[in-house]
Amino acid sequence: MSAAFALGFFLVLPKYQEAQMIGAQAEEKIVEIQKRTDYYDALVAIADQLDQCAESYKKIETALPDNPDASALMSFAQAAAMQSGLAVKNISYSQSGSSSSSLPAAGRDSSEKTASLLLREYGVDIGLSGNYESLKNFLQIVEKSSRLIKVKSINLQSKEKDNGENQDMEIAAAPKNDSAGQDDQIIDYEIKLSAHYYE
Amino acid sequence: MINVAPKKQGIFLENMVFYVSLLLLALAVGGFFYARHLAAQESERLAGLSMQMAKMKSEEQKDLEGKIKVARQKLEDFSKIASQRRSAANFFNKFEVLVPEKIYFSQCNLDLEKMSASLSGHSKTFQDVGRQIMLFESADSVLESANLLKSAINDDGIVDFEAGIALKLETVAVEQ
Repeated sequence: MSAAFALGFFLVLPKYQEAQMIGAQAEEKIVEIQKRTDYYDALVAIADQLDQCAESYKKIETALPDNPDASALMSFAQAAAMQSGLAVKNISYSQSGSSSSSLPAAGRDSSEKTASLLLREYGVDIGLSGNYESLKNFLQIVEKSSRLIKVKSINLQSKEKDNGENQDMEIAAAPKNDSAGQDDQIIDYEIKLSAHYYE
Repeated sequence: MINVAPKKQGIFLENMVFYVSLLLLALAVGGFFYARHLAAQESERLAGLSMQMAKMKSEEQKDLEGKIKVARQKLEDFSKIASQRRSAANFFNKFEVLVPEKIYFSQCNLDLEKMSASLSGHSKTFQDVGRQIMLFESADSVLESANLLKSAINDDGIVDFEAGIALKLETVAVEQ
């Protein structure tokens, strides 16, 4: 009888406990698998939603492209100026250096190459010349472009007359009675634009 | 005469204890093998589940995660940048109605990041300049503040002035 109890205590009970412990681990794994399955299903659902909004998403990709494409932006600014009736005096590109890491560090690992984005900004300075209405047209074209372009600053400077004095610069919705009219007033503009892209 | 009854009872009890012990031993041995079988079965199930979990972190899932993270980040960035945009065209549309006749500007520096503008101009009289500043000050739906920084009459009898204005966010807000 003692041998039976000893056998039960030293062999059967530990083995049974071991089986129970493994069973508990298996149950934990089942819960984890369920969680992962739910997570994967959620991922698929989100990916499907993204596919449904592909057109809107494409607009965002146009607004914030994956390369600077500065020449295209400069070309667009030049064309917009000409279309508005402004003369382009100069145009230059500069990397502003400001950048922001798009993804939080926790979301990065070496296996997630597609997810490592770096948002960068560059500037385009453009010197224009023309009347005030043309400037407004230019600004409307730039601000409504599919590429996300920020107008950072504008300097308006009236042109100098032959005698060295500045011409009058009229900023008004309609020409004033005592002036020659806005169309005749040529103003110089220095406009700073900026755009973003992903690296 | 010899009494044999207690001896018989003792043997019976001994036998009973023996058989019960034997039964318990058999149960213990049987229990051991059953527990061993159970542990092996659970181990096998655990190994199967571990393998299933390892398979779940597939390339497809990684690609999906990457695609969604990129999309989410682009949406956030777009929303942030779009909200930071200011419309210079809107500024000029609202500003030009605040400029009375007889006021002419020679320079206007509009800084949309600082939401301010500095203006240099001239007029024939101080009254016109004063009127201009009053118009700026009364346009509290367009301008946050307006300050006359400098005003002086030049050699030609023209009143030159410099003013600074701070813009309200609504003045340069981009229509979405």
